[in-house]
Amino acid sequence: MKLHVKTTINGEEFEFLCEPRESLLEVLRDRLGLTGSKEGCNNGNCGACNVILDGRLVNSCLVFAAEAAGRAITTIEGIQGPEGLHPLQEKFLEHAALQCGICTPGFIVAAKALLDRNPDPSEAEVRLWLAGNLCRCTGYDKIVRAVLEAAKSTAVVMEK
Amino acid sequence: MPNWPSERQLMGTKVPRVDGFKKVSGGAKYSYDINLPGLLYAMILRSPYAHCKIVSIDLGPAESMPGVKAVHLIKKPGDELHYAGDEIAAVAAMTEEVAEDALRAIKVKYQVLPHVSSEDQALKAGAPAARAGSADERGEKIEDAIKEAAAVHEGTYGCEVITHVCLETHGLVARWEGEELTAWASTQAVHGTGTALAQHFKIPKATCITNFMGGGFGSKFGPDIQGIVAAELAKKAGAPVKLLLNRAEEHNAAGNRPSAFAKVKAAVDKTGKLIAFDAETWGTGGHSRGAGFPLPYVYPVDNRRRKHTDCFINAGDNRAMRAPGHPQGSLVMDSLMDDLCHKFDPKLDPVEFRLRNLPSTVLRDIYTKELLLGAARIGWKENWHPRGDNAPGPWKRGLGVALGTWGGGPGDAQATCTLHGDGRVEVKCGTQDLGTGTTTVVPLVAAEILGLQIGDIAGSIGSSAFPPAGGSGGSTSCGGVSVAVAMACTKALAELFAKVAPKLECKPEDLQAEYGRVFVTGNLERGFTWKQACAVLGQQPITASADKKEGEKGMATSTVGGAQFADVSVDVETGRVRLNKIVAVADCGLVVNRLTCESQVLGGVIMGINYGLYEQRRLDPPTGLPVNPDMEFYLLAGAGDIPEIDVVLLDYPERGVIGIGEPPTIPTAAAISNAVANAIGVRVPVIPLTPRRVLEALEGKA
Repeated sequence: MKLHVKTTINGEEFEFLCEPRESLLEVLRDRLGLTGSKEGCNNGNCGACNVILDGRLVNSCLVFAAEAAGRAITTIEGIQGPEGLHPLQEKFLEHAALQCGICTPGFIVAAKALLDRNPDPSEAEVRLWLAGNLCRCTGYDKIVRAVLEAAKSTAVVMEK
Repeated sequence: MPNWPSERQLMGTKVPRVDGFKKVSGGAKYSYDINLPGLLYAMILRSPYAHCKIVSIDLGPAESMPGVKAVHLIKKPGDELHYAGDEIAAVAAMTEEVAEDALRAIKVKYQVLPHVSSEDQALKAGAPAARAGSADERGEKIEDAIKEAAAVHEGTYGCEVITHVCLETHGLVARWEGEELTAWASTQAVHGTGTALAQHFKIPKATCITNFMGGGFGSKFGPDIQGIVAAELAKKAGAPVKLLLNRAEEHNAAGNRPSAFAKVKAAVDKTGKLIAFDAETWGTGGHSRGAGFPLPYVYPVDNRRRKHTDCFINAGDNRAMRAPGHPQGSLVMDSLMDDLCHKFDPKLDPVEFRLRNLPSTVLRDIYTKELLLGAARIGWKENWHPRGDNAPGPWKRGLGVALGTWGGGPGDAQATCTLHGDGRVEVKCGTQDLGTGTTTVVPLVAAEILGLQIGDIAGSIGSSAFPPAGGSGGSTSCGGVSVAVAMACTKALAELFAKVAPKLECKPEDLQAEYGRVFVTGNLERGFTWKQACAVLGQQPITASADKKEGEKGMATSTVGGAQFADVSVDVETGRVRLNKIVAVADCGLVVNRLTCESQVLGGVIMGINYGLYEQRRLDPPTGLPVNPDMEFYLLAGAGDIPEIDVVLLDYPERGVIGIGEPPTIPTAAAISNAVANAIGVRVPVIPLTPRRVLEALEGKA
């Protein structure tokens, strides 16, 4: 049995067919060509597959693709604005907050979800929020700094 | 003799990764992201028992399942399976779901055999699973030295088996076009993997591509069984096949770091110098591989004896893991050194004790600098106290130090540099970037030599179609690749100079390339812009090739030493260890990219924190099955577990380039263990330093 799903991804309408047991991550990667979301553990522990679903941070490996029906999803491919990289992406680059880069999409999506609800987080809040994202290379130090710097730079933009 | 430019514009500065944009925007294509038309998904059936024999196997039900395109037998009836996760057969199907169903449909009858799942079981008399390993004895006066010693200490120390946990698992995508095989593999060796695939299939050449990869840490040097199987399935099915391991397979079958245990007796003379060392060591590297590690480590001792035993258990085999053996050697040796120091004179500063016991090699000077520098950065003079913090309350604070050493040196590498008539520069090298930053090293070094900016260089790595380079292991890539690229660019530039010189009415040797210009030395005006200079080439580009051997002396070096310090607080009521600060002083020689060099040191330290406090592969003794092959119960540090980490790069440009992938992960856990002993007054002998182990040590049960 295949399910017909209509959803919105990064502001665009998408339709796809999927099996009931398929995860959102599988559909994003294998059917829709959105391979920026990564599979690290496939059981919700590493955060490499993080996407934002109706404003909420989720592990897309733990969401059934069918659950995406009628909802709005933001993936790493949609973080960048029309005017270029998001400040988070810029700060990750500038602070070298990435090594092999396979955890990076998840960290950036998670950090975006944090800044959306708390534009001025403390260092402790950043560390706690990112507890669901694992980096093995491992760049936590620079990641935390990049998120704090991005928060600062978005605050400046908002003041302007 | 070739050498680096004495004044450098780019090397040693902070350069953001040239492939960073793709990585932050989701555009980087890892092997796992390669989706080809008609792609099939493959999975492997694995042993459900720790030790068994295949009695019979029926692939029929899987073969006849709709959507299954190929089935491949790896083991046959009568074959023994040595651990839970050992490969049996594989299928390729149109979706992952069908592949999973097909694995369930394969009918296998097993004969379950007795298993061994721990070092202790393997060492028990009668078990066939322990084998005497290397024995080493030097100096004849161990007993005499111990008798005459000012202090003798006897202790047992150890580390558990851990796994690599690469965030991108092992595997590849295989595609056949006629007799030509292309593999997009997650590998630390594109040339090695391409060659191994070609040999297996007896074809002239297989191309291996690795544009991006999600970590390897020593565990990804060839196609492995799963890579061969993916290519076999692709051949049978006549369609491309993707086979990347799932997380459990990655833990069980894709390598691990052996455990290491040591019962050591050691002695010092009245000056506090190590004079005797007698050790029995053991560990497990899986069902067929050893568990060797260097010991004694860093600190020299004339009279020494060591007996090592490898314990074979029903678990996946070890693979090289980030400085193989060294973190284990460091943990045992530096724990012992601290305990000896305490026994010799409880008030003696462990930094001073180490200074008295340094090797009389090139590293003596480096270690001395590092110890003094690191001690100042961690606040050693202000905060160190003899063992046991007497402060009131449950939280006890302590400081610890440890040293590490590594060989390294420039690995095999060749490169080509092509200069085009329109000024374009292409540099190619068949190395790969594990996340270390090699992709950026190539254009950075080329731009340095050619006097250009990084954006002017098109660097290409990550394919076996490019000039051969060795696997990225042993911290050898940065040195080898930097030198090969520098030499290729130097040669291409010399050819360009020869063509440009007549136009400037000078000799080629009078020319230099800097600031984006080619000009007569001493007269910036008497010359051309880079583009004008290259225009003399017209339609005939220059291509120069070089091997790192043409320039390596003085340009890259081996034999490095590092020192790390830890400041910890331990809750003696709960056994929890909280890290306050780590200082890592890294022996970096000539830094190529300061930004990625720092990242490597930070990453090494955090990996050290992981195995010092959290990581342990657990097997269930009654069944021999892995208990935590996941990321939930196999504990890894998160962003909240990491303290302030102070990275000090000990610049030493005259030593040349030093690979920094491995050295910084060696002494971290030993420094933490020593800090914990300093805080609570007793040694917690085995890492990871879990709350339970800390409490047991405090109760005197350890």
